[in-house]
Amino acid sequence: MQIIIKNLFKLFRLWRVYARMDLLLMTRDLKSIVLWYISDGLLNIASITGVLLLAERFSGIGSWSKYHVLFMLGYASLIDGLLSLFFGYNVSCISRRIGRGQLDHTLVQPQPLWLSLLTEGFSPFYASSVLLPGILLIWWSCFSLHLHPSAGWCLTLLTNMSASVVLAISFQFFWGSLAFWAPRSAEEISSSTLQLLEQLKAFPLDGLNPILVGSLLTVLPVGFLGWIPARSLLGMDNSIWSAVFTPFAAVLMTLLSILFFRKGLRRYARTGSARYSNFGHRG
Amino acid sequence: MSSKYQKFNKTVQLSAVASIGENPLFLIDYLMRLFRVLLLLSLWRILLKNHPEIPGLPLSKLLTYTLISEIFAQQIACRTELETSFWNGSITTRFLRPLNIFTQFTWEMLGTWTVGFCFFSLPLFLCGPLLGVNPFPSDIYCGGMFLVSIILAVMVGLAIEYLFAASAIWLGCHPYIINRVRSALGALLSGAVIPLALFPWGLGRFLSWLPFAATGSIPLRIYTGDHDFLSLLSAQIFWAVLLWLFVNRFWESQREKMLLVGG
Repeated sequence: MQIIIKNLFKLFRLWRVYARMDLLLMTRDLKSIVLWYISDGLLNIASITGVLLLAERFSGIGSWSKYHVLFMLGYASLIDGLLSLFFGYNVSCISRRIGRGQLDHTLVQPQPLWLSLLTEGFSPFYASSVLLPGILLIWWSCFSLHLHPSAGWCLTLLTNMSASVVLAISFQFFWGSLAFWAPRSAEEISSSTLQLLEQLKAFPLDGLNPILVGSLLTVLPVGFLGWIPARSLLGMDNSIWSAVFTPFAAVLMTLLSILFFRKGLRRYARTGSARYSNFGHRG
Repeated sequence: MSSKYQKFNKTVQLSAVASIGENPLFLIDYLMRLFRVLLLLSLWRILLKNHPEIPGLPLSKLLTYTLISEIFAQQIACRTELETSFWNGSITTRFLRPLNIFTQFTWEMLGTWTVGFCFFSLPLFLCGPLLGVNPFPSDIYCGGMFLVSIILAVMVGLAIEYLFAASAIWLGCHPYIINRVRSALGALLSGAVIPLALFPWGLGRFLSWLPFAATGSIPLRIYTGDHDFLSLLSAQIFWAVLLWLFVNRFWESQREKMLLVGG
């Protein structure tokens, strides 16, 4: 118990340190940070604008009204923002760190690996370009749908959002672990899988072919980053199952990714990285 | 002439082999594209079930539009390794090679296209009828004009690519930023993912005048039966000429200002 409390304090201390470093990086040069900020905001907005415009043109998509779609997009956008908030600086693109041999930088630190991975990517200032539009979209849709959030509803929202983030980062680690075995060819696999999640998260999956829906909930679990949680939160599916579906999937995905990552880490302990050289991180 | 052709041919071959050999996980990218096209085809079927009134774009044409857009996604996106070479510093050795800098990247891009064509585009075209989509052009004239149009689209796309690359030098920013902005804007404004005709408030009509539309929307409209060849191809020629004139001057003025740290 004492160790848990100690680690928890350390976690918050490290978050504070990394938040400060993020702020320093943001404020070191106005031009580059304005460009980073605008480009990330633009990217996030562009990834949801298409579906948003479709919802406007057709007054919704299938059984989803315009504002239901807006809520789902806000949710998906917020998940992107949270992923960027807690797992920035290539933690969510873990294959880059593994493939380039940069995991050594993390392994030599006098603290558990999980603590490093949970704190190194903390970037509250940088992630705000994605977080703020997500919050705005959720607030706008709740207002337009005349939703009066109860404490229970807020709790379900927080649980589902946490589960979606955990699921997304687990998915990233699951695929990113391939870089333990193929450091060069799998170095960029995390950016491919992240792009997959970003591109497909914005679509409601109602009425689609069951095989396609099944694939989008298992092989590529994008359905849990917007569609399933939004259905539950908007009361489109009132079964208890829909509220716990995302947390359940997150637990499963986490177990799978831990298993795969640890297997890769054991291999890394034997082989290390052949790509790390005195010229830099890529041999 | 023959020696020049051999050099280019070799570059294409090397690039094609490298895109498989150095990245055997390229199939994951194809999986993503397959999911995207299946999702969009299903989405159009759901959306247009209750809205069959979209002028000039019935469901069958919309499905063909989406399928062909995915088949020619690499040509429409028109991405080279230019920005990556800024990032990893390999651009410095490129300048030393006895080939024009644009030509090197363009031929390498053609090499990656051959792989994408064989492993993804061709199989997807053949699977079109299985997905309930007619993959053929509206008529033989549209098919012929599409070939002209897609070549013009690539010319405009390359000009935009080099324009963004030169902008990265001009702004003195990380090439990754420009790369992301280019991808995001290209996907949305070209009409490759969502046809411009489906945008609300007449936004599509406005966007169809921008150069991004010349890379995606115009060739796809021709393929699906828009017979207004003269104005559509003229728009593409206009953008190709204008952008290349500008890009050449812009690039020449910026290449001397290139700064690389690390790499």
